[in-house]
Amino acid sequence: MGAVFKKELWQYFHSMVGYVFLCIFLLLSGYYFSVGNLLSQNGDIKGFFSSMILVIMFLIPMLTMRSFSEERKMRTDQLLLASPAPLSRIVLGKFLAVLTVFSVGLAVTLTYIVILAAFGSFEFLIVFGNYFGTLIAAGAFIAVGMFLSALTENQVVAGVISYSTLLGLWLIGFVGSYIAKGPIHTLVTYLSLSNKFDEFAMGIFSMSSVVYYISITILFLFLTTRILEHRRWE
Amino acid sequence: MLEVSHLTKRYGDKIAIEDLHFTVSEGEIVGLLGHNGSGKSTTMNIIAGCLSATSGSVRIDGSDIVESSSEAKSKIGYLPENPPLYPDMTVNEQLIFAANLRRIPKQKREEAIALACEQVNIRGVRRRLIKNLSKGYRQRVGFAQALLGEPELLILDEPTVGLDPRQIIEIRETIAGLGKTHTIILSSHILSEIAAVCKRVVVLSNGRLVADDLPSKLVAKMSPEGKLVLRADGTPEQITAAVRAVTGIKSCTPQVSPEDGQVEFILETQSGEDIHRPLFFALAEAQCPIRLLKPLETSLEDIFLQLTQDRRYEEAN
Repeated sequence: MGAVFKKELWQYFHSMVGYVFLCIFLLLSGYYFSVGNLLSQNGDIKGFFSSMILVIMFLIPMLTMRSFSEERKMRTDQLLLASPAPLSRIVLGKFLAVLTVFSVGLAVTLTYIVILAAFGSFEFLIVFGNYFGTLIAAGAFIAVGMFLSALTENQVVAGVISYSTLLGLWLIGFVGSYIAKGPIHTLVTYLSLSNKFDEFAMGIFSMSSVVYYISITILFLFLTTRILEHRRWE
Repeated sequence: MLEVSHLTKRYGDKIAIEDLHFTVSEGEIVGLLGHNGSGKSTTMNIIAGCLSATSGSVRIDGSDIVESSSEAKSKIGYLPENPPLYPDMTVNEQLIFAANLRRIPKQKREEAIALACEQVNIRGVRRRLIKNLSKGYRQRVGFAQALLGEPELLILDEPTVGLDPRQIIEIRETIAGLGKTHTIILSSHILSEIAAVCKRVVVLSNGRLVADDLPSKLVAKMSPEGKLVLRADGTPEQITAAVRAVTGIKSCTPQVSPEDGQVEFILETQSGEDIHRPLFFALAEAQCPIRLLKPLETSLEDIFLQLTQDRRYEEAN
């Protein structure tokens, strides 16, 4: 796991991908912070996170799209498959590497909190809840993106499908409010990635949301392992 | 060391390999021979644990490649047909990653990498990016990668593809040298290569095993018994007449040698009969001195063609 983790991190920061990701991420987060907090003289950080989650959803596929498709296309997956490391460790190593790249970007936004704390209000639990929520939501996005990357050899296809899947799961939440209560309504609200995040953004630390994102992450990492295992049998 | 038993692999309806059964004992160098698409790479992929067989099993030193895969895989060094290298890494970085993947402890890593680089002679390119290396060097980096950590079993899928003649000789020498301490399976569709380094040949045709023997025994087995090749001075009529007179010779057919275009005669003798002496005196009497007299042997190339000429499956698909 350590070997794959290190190699992935190395690759993100030796190709443009890691820097482009961080650059766009920080540009957009800086924009939201400046407009939403600094220029509008708003000391509340919650709005910042509910805007950022969409940016994160948009950017995560950029990191995950190459993760398995590229290995398969370059035939380097044979090195991983022939190594003594079990597939689950390889998948976990890759997942943690993407999460680390993302966390580097997220860590920079802590400076905004320092600025707000110096000039405005600082509520530890709200800040912590939002960061924690963002991190586990991103974990779920990464797991979905990695799963889709394991399905194809083409990283552009993986990227586009990941983006549309995440966007679809996000938008479906808005449809929920127009559907009468019933099984479809329950299903739609359950599938929606956005409803769960709203609670974090409002400063509510909801256990069910935590369980939701973490179980999505585990489910898709498991499915990724299964897909790779299945490919051996094809 | 390696036990392959009743291995079958299907891709949908297509049978890639069928009921493959062979063993390789410690220290052997075995050549897997077959034309393109005969199932060599599939077999090697299954042995290395990159693919799973539809049925059958592979055991390495007693551990099953599926059930106790970590243990089995740690004993294998695998060089696939296309060496799995990351183009944006340097040779050194690639080898460090491969060493970490094989769980070679950090303090031994540098030593292991230096040794592997030494064995395939790539010390000079360790700092270069893989994407800037030639095909031959990439092949050798892949080879070095397979050698890391001194695995007991080396699986080399067409190790000399894309190399120039000089490099081919070098790699063959390396393989022969490694054969003293490792068990090696290598595949090729080039016969001379197998004959040069392997002690045993396993011939595959359309996914089935058609022969498994020493190259020399294969030659003996496939060569027709009691047939001799004769060359002598004199006209074909004189020679034929002289030969026909010798008792014990069933037939004498002239042919033009495929090698140098000279006329030679294929003699078929009755089994158990030593015709060398009477033949010598008969031809001497006819004033036709013998230039060459030897048993007719089928060359390895011909054997390979004979063994693999059954192409039913290919045509069916």
